[in-house]
Amino acid sequence: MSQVKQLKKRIKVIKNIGHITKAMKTLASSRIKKVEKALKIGALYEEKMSEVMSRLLPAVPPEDSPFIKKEGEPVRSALIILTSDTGFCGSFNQNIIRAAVNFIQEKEPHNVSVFALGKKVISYLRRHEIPVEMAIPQWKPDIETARTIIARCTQLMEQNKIQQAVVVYSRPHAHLAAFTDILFPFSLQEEEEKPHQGDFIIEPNPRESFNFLLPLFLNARLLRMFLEARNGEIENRLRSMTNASDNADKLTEALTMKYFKARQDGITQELMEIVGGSEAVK
Amino acid sequence: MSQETTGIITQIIGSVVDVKFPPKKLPKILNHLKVQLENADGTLKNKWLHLEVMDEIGDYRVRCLALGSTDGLRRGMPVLDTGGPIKVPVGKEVLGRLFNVMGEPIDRLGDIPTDKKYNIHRAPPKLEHQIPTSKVFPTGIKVIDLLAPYALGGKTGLFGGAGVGKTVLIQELIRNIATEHEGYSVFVGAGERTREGNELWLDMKRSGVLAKTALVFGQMDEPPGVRFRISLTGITMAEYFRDEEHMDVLIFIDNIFRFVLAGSEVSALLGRMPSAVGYQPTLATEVGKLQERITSTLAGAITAVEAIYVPADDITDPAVATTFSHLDSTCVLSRQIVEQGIYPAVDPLSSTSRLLDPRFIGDEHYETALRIQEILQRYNDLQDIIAILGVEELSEDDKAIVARARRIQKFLSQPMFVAEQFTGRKGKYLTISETVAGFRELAEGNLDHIPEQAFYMTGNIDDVLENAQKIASSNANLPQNNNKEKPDKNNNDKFKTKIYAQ
Repeated sequence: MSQVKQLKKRIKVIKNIGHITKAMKTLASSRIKKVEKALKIGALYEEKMSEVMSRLLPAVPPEDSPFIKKEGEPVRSALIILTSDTGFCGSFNQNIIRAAVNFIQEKEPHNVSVFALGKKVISYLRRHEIPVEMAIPQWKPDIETARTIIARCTQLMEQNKIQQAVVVYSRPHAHLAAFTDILFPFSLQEEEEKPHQGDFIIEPNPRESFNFLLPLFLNARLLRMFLEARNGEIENRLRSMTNASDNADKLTEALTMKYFKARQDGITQELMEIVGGSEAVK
Repeated sequence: MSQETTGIITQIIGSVVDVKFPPKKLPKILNHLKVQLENADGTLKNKWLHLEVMDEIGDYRVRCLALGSTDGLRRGMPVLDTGGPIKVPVGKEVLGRLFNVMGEPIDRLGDIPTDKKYNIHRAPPKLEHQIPTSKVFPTGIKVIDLLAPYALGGKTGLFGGAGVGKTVLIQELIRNIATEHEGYSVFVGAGERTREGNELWLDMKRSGVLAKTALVFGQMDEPPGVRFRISLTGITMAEYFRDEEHMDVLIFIDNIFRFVLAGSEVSALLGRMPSAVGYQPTLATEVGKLQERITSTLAGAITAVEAIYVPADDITDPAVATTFSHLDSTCVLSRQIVEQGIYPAVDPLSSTSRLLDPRFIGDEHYETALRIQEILQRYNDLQDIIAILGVEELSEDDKAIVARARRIQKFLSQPMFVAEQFTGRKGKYLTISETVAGFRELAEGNLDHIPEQAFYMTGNIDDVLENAQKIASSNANLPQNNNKEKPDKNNNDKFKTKIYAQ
C-alpha cells in the first residue's frame, strides 16, 4: 500500500513538471515568430552595410585603421559571449560556455577580455573565478546593448589592449553547435570576394567614409549576431521543452501503469484475505 | 518419563498428522512423537518419522507437525510419545559436523560421541541477563562498515529479493569474519539450495574453518516442518557455547524467511485462519520467539547474520517487516543496484544500523556516513528531473552532486573473495579507517577529477588512484600526436578538469 501512495505522489510531481515544460514550450513557440522577423530585418540591414564596407575596404590602406587585419596573429582579444538568462533550453548555454572556455584556454586567460552577456555565463565565470571585462545580465538584443559593447571594444582597441574581437554565440537551425566568429578586424580576402563593380565616387574620401561608417557597421553586425543568438536560444528552448514534455508524458504513463498494477495488487490481496477469512470461519 | 505411551494415527493431511491417545495420556504441546515406518510388505523399517505436537484438538487427539516426509504413513499406525521435546546434541563434539533438524549427523562420519542434548525449544534469556551491544564488528566490506556497521553480539539482516546476491554476501561474510573469528560458528541452511550447502561444506573444509563450525541443514527439498524447526536446532547449538562455554559465537542463517514461509505452509493445515497477505496469524509470535533467543548475555555473545528473502522485492511484506524490528542492523540489497552492476548490491539509503551513532563509531565515521547518504539522497531526488529535463538543466551545485554521487555509487562496489572465480578480480578486505578515509575524500570533493570508472570494483583509495593512472595512460596513448605542440599540457589539463568537473 505504501508503494501506491508513493507512486501517486511521484506521478503528481512529474505531472507538475510536465505542466511547466508545456507552458515554456507554448511561450517559446509564440516568441519564435517575433524574433525570426526581427532577425530578418536586422540581417538585411547588416548585409547592405557589409556590401558598402566591402567596397570601401580596398580603398583604405590597412595601416590607417586598427580595424583592418594586419599581418600576424592578434595576441589579445575581446571575447563576447552570448548566453541566455534562464535555463530550460537544453545544452544551449553549455555548448556556448564550452566553446568560450576553449577559446580562453587557447589564448591564455590573461590575454582575453571577456564580455559576458546573460546570467548563465556570468555565474559560470564568477564560479570559476575568470575575470570579466563587462557583464550584462538580462540583456536585450537591441542596438543600445550593441553600442555599449562596441564603444568599450573600440576604447580597448585604441588603448591597444585588444587586437581583435570574437563573438561566441549560436545560430538558428544549428542544432548543438556554438559559433566562434571574428567581429573585427576585417580581413581583405574575406571582404574582397566581390571585385570592383565599376567606379564609385566616394565622398568625402574613402578613409573618412570608412571611419564614419565603421561604428555603424560594427553595431549592425553585432546586432545581427545578437538576434541570431536569441533566435537560436528560443529555438533550442522550444526543442528541449518539447522533448521534456514528451519525457514527462512517457514517465507519467509508465508510472500510472505501475500505480494501477500496485493498486490492483492491493485489491486482489484484500479480496483473497476476505474470502480466505470467511472460508476459515465457516 | 521412562514409560512411553502409544497413540494411533487418525488423520493425515500433508505434513500435518492427527494422533489419538488413550485418555489422560495425552502428550504435551511441543512433545516429540515418533512413528516407525513400514516397508511395502508391512514389515517394520529401521526408520522413524518424527512428529511434533502443535495443538490439542479435543477428543484425546493431538495435531502434529511432521518433521519429515509423510509418504507411506497410514491411519492406525502406532505413534510413540517420547515424553519431551526434540533434543539435539550440543557441545564441542558438534563442531566440524553436519546435522539435520533432529540433530542427526548427515555427513556419514559416524555418531556424535556425546550425551549432552538440549531441548530445541528453550526460553529466551531473561532481560536482566541480556547486555546491550555497542561494539562495532568489522566486516571488511566498505558499504556495510560505513553505512550499516554490524554490532558485536548483535543481529544483522541481509534483505534482498531473488538473485540479488544474499547468499554470496553471506558467504563473503563467513570468509571475512568466521575465518578471522577466534570463537566458534554455527551455520544454518534453511530452505536454500542444497548445492550451496555442499559447496560451503567443501569450502570450509578446504579453508580449515570447518573444525570450529557446526553446520545444520534443512534445505528446500525438505518438508515444511523441517524448514520450520531447523533454525531452532542451529540456535540451540549456538546457545550451548554461549551459556556453558561462555564464548562469543557467530551464527549465520540462510534464509530466515523460509522459516516464516514454512510456518505459513503448515498454518492453514493446522486449522489457523490466514492473516495479512496469507501469512499465519501467529507470525509475530513465531518470529519473536526465534529472534529473542539470538541475544548476547552476560555469559557470552551471539552475533547473528541472517539472510532474509524479500518476496517480490516488497520490503513492506509482513514477514520481512516483522523481522526488521528485531535487528540491530539492516542491510538491504536492491535490484536497482544489481541492475547497475554494482556488487555487493547494498542499498545505501535503506540500510542502516543502530550503531550508526557518534557515540559508538566516532564523529568522523558518523559524519562521513551521513554526508554520503545526503549526497546519494539528493541524487535520488534529482532522478526524475534528470529523466525529464536532462542533466544540463541542473544548477552547477546539483551537477557537482550528481557527479559525486555517481562516483560514490561506483566506489560502494567491491570485489569479493568468494566471487573471485566468476569476476576474475581479487577480493579486497578494508579496515574501517581505510573505508571512512576513502569516503570522506569523496564526500569532500577531493576526487572529483578522477574518472568514474576508476572507482568501480576497487578496494581503498590507493586502488582508485592507481586505476585512474591506468585509464589516463591508456587515454594518453591515443591522441598524443595532436597535443605535441602544447608544452604545458599538464597545466591545461588541470584547468580543464577544474572547469568540466561537472
